[in-house]
Amino acid sequence: MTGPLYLAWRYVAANRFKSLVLLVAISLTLYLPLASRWTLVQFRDAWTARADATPLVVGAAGSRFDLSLHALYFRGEPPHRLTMKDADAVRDSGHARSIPLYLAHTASGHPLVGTTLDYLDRRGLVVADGHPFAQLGDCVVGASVARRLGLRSGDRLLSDPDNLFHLAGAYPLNMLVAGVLAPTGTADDEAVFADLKTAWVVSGIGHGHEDLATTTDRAAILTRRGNEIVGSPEVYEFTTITDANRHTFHFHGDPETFPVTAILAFPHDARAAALLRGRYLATNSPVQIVVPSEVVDEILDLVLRVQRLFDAASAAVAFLTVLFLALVALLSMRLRRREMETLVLVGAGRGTLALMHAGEYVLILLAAAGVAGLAGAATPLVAGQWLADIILGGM
Amino acid sequence: MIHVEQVEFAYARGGFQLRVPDLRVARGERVAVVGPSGSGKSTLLRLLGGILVPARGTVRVADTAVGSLPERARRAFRATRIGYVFQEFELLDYLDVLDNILLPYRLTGALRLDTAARDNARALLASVGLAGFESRALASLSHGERQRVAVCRALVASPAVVLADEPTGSLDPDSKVAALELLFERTRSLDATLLVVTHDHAHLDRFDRVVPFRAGAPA
Amino acid sequence: MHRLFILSLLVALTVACRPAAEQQRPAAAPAQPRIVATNYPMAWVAERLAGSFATIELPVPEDEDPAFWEPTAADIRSMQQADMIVLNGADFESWLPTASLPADRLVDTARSFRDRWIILEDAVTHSHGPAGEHTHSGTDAMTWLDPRQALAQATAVREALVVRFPERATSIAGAFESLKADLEDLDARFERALAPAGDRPLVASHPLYNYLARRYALNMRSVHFEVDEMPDDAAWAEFDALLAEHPARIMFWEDEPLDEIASELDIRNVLPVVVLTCGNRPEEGDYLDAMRANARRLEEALR
Repeated sequence: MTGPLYLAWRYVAANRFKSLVLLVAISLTLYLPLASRWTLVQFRDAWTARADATPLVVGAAGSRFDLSLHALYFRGEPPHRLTMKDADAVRDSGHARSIPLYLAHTASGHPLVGTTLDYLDRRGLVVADGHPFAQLGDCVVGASVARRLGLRSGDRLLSDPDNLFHLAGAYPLNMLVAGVLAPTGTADDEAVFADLKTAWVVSGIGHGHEDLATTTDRAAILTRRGNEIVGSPEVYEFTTITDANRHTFHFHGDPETFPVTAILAFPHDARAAALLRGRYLATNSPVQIVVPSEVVDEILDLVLRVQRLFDAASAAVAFLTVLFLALVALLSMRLRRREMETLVLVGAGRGTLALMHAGEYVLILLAAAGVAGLAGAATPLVAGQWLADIILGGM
Repeated sequence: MIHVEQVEFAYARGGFQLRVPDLRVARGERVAVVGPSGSGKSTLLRLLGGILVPARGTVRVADTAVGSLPERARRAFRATRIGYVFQEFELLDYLDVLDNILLPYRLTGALRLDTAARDNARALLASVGLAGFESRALASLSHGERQRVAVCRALVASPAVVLADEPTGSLDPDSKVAALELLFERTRSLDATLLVVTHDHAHLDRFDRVVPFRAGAPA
Repeated sequence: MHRLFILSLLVALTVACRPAAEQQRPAAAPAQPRIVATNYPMAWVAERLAGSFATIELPVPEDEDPAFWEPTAADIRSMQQADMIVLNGADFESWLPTASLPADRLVDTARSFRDRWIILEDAVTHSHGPAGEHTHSGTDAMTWLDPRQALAQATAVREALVVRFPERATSIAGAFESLKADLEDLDARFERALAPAGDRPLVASHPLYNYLARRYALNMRSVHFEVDEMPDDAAWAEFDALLAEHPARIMFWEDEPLDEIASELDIRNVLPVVVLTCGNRPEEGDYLDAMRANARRLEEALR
């Protein structure tokens, strides 16, 4: 029986304003809970996936939330730094593969993650254009970073000067974009990755300059006593690493003392994980080990409680909308009483009339469901980051 | 064609009563029912259409005892055998001209909306001088044009009886004549019986017969 | 479907266009593991231990000293893709601080005797800016000249191989026993050859033989003479002054010195002996052959 539905459709189409108001009202009512739920689901899945892909994180004692967010999402910085010695300790424990992260700088506002090639391997990051970082000064950029900054392999990317008045002032390093990563939908899309050593150079721990023993620039030398040469602060430090000056780059001090901000630990099995965790159990240990999936579960638990609140509000809104629709339907039926009488005279039964009325709302409801569904599905794409920012900002 | 015999009808809430001892209208006859408001003219039309069922007596239209039909059959009967024309035309402003004419086909399973029905509707529209008006919006039509569309709708299912309730009531004098002529002409071409309820006495001479109503009964 | 067709066409063309040499490699069989070494002694060790199942690569060109070699970005990418990278360690790879290599595939062979590395005295110390004084430390990286250290390095390679290729453990263990025997024999040969040296003063054209000298308790001093460049008068004067307090009669050379140098030495009654360092592949034979020849020449010279 398509007749009544056809008439309903003609009615809906002819009464555009009324239909639109109903459409908007119903769409909004459906959209809010859908969008919030789907966004949360996507958020939860993404977070759970990343946490599950990162079995253990070692970092300075302090908030385990901060440490997890730092190691998984490159946000904030733990209160203290660790050293390469801690990273080596994880590796040498024989229980886990250790992937150190050193996150202290940014490049065009994106976190500059100093790490090892293992990170790319472990996260399954594929270089879509170019190569992984190979030499000092190389970096690979996440897909979103590349898109936003218009970067391709072979381009240059400047690290941000962290503090204009920083005395031991790290100069911005002009890095070579060795590669662009394929998009993953994770925080890796938003980051710039470089070798730990490159990040240390940005921090000023390593640097390159003219060979003071052979320089002809007298301003570069403060004093020279045999093999002991004191360079002046005027020594020109390279800010771009090239094939010609790469060999002049060097690091000062014992590599074991070089900083890392977090260590991802990938235990070989459950037993190794337990043994490794046992090493950091002492309450006064300056180093802690956290299980990101547990931390993320806690965060999600909080988020889900907010979601329940939101659901209650949505239910109230839905109830109001139903009342509103009932009122509209009632008024509409009154307005159309003559029309209905005519239709009865022409041969319509009650069922037909009911179908006509219902059809009007079914059509609008279907359209609203479509609109709400599409908008709801699109929301996590747009709002996912925004939601993450809000949630992370509140941590 | 129409035979109303010993019919008595009263609305449930009381007050008004209609009694029709005997009313016969022959096939193809054009009858005007006249009388003041409240004299029972419209109730008669409802009885003929099977909207109302008499408490007593029989209403036969086109050899069918309408009152004794079950509800569903009465609806089908109404859709297939009776055409209605109303004073305010009662066209649906959210449908275009052709859809308005074909309205009965969309409301009942008793009529099949096929190519023949559409062609018939178009032919009707052309026969009232509105060829090419099929997809016009109702709002763009003049009063007279609407009247003609309403006539087309009444005739589209080729009814045996056309019931018209004050069909010229809202028209100016010149248009009234034209409208009546149109009704006469179209019903004649279908060989249908025409029963027009009116309180307008100006054109009664054009009908075959006039049945005056007064206070709930034919006078 | 269309795209698939074009793709297979491309693949077919690529295969057809490959140089003949590459085509010989069976495409379907899993490629042999690749092991990259950064100097010849480590490449030799890897070859001895894993040559039966892996391809050993030494990316340093034959005419270049691996100690001064710097890999290009392409070299490093090739190393990144290797199954194992065997480093000499002890700062031999001066380029290592500027390269990104997968830590879990690096084998730092000299690490186990880290506390026994020899720090060169004349390294440059400098300071500038607020970072403070620092030394560009010079570690003597020619660790393999001491056969026992070479054995320690081989042990590190063996351990890494067994972890990486557990299914080859038996073959690796067998190869290691043979290698160990050869290195111990080499150590014995040196010991025998150098025994007569006792406390006799020796001199070297360059400070290259520190580990050898330490292992066999040689009384050795060194200068900075190039094999292909006649030292100037000042250098000879310094040399004479050295001989005055350190009367060496035998001088270690990393290669045959120029005739005029040889005759100058002859005048001073100093005998040049070629002691190859084997940083890169020797012209003939392998590490073992070259080192045995070293021992033989030293034995003859000291007799």
